[in-house]
Amino acid sequence: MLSKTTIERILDAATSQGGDFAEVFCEDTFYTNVLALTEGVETSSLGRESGVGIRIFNGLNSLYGYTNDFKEDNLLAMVRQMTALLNKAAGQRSRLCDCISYSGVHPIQQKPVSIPLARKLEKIERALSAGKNYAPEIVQVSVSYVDMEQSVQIANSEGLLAEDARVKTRMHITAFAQNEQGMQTGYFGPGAMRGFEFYDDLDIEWYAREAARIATTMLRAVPCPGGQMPVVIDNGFGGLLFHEACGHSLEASSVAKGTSEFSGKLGERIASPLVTLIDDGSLANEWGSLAIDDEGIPTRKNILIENGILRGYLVDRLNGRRMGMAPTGSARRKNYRFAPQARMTNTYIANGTSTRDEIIANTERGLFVKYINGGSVNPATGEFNFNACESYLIENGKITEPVKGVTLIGKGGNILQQVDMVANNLEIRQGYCYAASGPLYIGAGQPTVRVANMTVGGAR
Amino acid sequence: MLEGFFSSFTEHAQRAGITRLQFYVEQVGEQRLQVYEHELERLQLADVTLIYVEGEYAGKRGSTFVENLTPHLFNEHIASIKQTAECSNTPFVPLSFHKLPALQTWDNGLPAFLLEEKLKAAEDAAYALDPRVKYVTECSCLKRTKRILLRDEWGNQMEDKLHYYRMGVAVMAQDGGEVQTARIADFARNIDKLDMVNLAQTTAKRAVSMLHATPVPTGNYPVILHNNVVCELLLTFLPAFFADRVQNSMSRMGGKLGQQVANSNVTLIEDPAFTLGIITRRFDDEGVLTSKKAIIADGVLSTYLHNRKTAERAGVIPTGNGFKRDYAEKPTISPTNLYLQPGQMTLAELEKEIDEGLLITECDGMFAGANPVSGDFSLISKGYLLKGGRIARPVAQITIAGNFFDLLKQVTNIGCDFASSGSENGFVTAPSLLLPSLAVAGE
Repeated sequence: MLSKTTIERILDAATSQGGDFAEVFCEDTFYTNVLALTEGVETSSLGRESGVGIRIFNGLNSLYGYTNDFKEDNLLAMVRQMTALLNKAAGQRSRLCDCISYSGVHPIQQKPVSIPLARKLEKIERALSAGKNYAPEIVQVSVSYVDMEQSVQIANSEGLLAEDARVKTRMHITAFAQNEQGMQTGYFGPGAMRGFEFYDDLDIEWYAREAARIATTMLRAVPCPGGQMPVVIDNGFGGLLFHEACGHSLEASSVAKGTSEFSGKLGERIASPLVTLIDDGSLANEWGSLAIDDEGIPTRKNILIENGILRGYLVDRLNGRRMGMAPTGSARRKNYRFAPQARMTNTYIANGTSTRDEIIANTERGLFVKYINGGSVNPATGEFNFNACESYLIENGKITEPVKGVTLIGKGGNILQQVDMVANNLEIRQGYCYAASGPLYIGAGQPTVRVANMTVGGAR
Repeated sequence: MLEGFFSSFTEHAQRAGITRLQFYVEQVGEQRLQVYEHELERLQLADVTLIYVEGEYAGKRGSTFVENLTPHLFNEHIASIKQTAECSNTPFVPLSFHKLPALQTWDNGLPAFLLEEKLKAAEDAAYALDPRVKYVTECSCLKRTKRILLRDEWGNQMEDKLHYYRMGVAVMAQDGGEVQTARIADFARNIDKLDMVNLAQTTAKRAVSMLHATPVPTGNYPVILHNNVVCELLLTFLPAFFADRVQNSMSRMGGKLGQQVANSNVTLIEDPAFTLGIITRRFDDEGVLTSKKAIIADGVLSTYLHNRKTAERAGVIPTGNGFKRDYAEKPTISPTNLYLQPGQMTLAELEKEIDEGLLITECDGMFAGANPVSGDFSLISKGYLLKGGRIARPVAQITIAGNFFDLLKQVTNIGCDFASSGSENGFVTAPSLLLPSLAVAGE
């Protein structure tokens, strides 16, 4: 980490050379990454990433430089190189306050760095053998084990000086099932903002068997019929539908220049009254949580859509300038090699009043999506796509045969209006989101939700 | 500074019982400029040195990765090497070193302010193309340089360098309430080969031409996959040709060596020295020399891509594809530059072959909607409806679905056009392809 004096000098240099805002982000992160197959450990890597990112604004221009050479001379030289194109008058700055530490906000008991790798492998081994023994069709199980402890120091020309430590632990289990028809996969990836104590109450075997059950179920799945139909998405990580369909389009990087389908629509009805969408980075010890965001602002519960009405966006400092809006504690980056931007944390649809059984019973013919893979969106047009994993046809109000190769597409604004049933079984699950400031850990959740009509892409 | 780290870390590690230390070093420089409404909107500069250290401990291979070179972290890194060795079931493999000619210094390119002027001219050209060009949401250029150094504790070393430019343009077109976007990127090793104005105009044209796109009825259609879509599909399904996937029963190409896996008009080449490629590597991350080779020759699968471990297991010579996906991990398998051999017909001639069908110019959601193991894909797509051999109207909100490995066998015709796509983990250049039938879901 950098000394307070060095940070003061960097901020002095940045503001005297044309910056009207300057920020220093310093990081030191311990990582464990293990990939294991039933034959044994394929790769294991332990190590530490460390570096500094310096950001300077002048109006709506932003400059970002990063390096892992911590020497003060080098950092000051980088500031000079960055500001060379600015050619602007000196800005103002405040002296740094006393450092505020946020590292106790999400309590951690057993830091990853203190746990020997061999103990982590014992947990992996349990997942591998439970998955492999589920059924004879399971030909392979892979476990990707990740933990990290990211220490950050964030300072800016407004006087902020803050520190945080983010501890994350996750195990991603994939099962491969094979028969004469081919090979199918199923996965489950539980994780949390916790240390090794995460495994104390985690039923690893259940998750591994569930991954194996999905893979074997998909073996007997038939190609999905293509066309338009009602779609019921089960509770849990299915919430990624809303992450794609509207979450990204509510991020400031899409909204600020007027290039999101939801730009300029605050206070308007953009969704069915059954839809309340929340992004909350402050949920205790959740996988997608942070005590402070990567601009040093405490995370919070942001209500984006309330009973169908657009209430807010996810805003970072830079885009906040363009939008004339305050930042929302949502600025994130994978590491110092990325400039931060507003991203989702834990994003979910709030509970409704129906039940899953009612929703299915009320669907004459449609698709039931139990688990999903992932998706993406074009925020300008709202066109999104969303690939489903374990899915079934619904016929006469009953779940029938499993189907495979399911891709759901639509336009965010249209899908939001078409939500016509929301259950009361909210669950948040864990995953990653890929965007300009790097891959990030996120939570996505929802109760069981029905969309009255969607385009289902299938091969039949 | 690096020399000092090599020797003092080696000394500390040896005292802890670790031998045969070897280092992989990546030095990355980056300069990225983006203009917006005739102003420099973003500038990004980077300069990092990333180090991966391997050593032998108790007969096994251990590793750690390091950015902060200060000695007070040495003990933790040494513990990491020991722990990964103890938990490893792979023996230590020493790097192979070769005598290679010294490299020329890399292109220093244009100063940032000149790049800024070129980008502004490109942005202007996009706006000037059509009044319906509402925003040029991205007009940026990235220059990346990378030096890779392999080195062992005895001072043997080899270095490779690569450098390239990537220009990206994104355009939003609007007509009344209707919005469409297009995004195109291009790569070149020489900045003079990047026609920024042309790229900006092509992107703007694409966005405008997509306005008022609608779905087509669900059904099966003959399809032309435009060159950039072919690149994306190849990048997605390429792991099927990696020997580790094959050996772990995770590839449809398993057991197909020497067999017809594609129509006889399909030839897929890997060429580390390819003129249009960006991964100009002379050796892979295990020190094995890279080489030009056909993966598919006239439709016949002629080799898998190997690293040293998979080659040994298969009893063949490693193919020089033992590359890391990330400096912090040990090498797995990836390609350098690949290209699909072009055919004779222009895109317009391919279009003439279709009485009623689709030209697909964009697919999205590849990472989730395509399964590299089974080959199945179902992807949101855009393009144009072709009628009587000509473009009739733009099409959006459809999916195309099929199986990549089945498609390879059905390629009817191949264009002489090309596009490139990819990253430093694999780079592909490909022409457009004509296919007899794909399942399309729409209205």
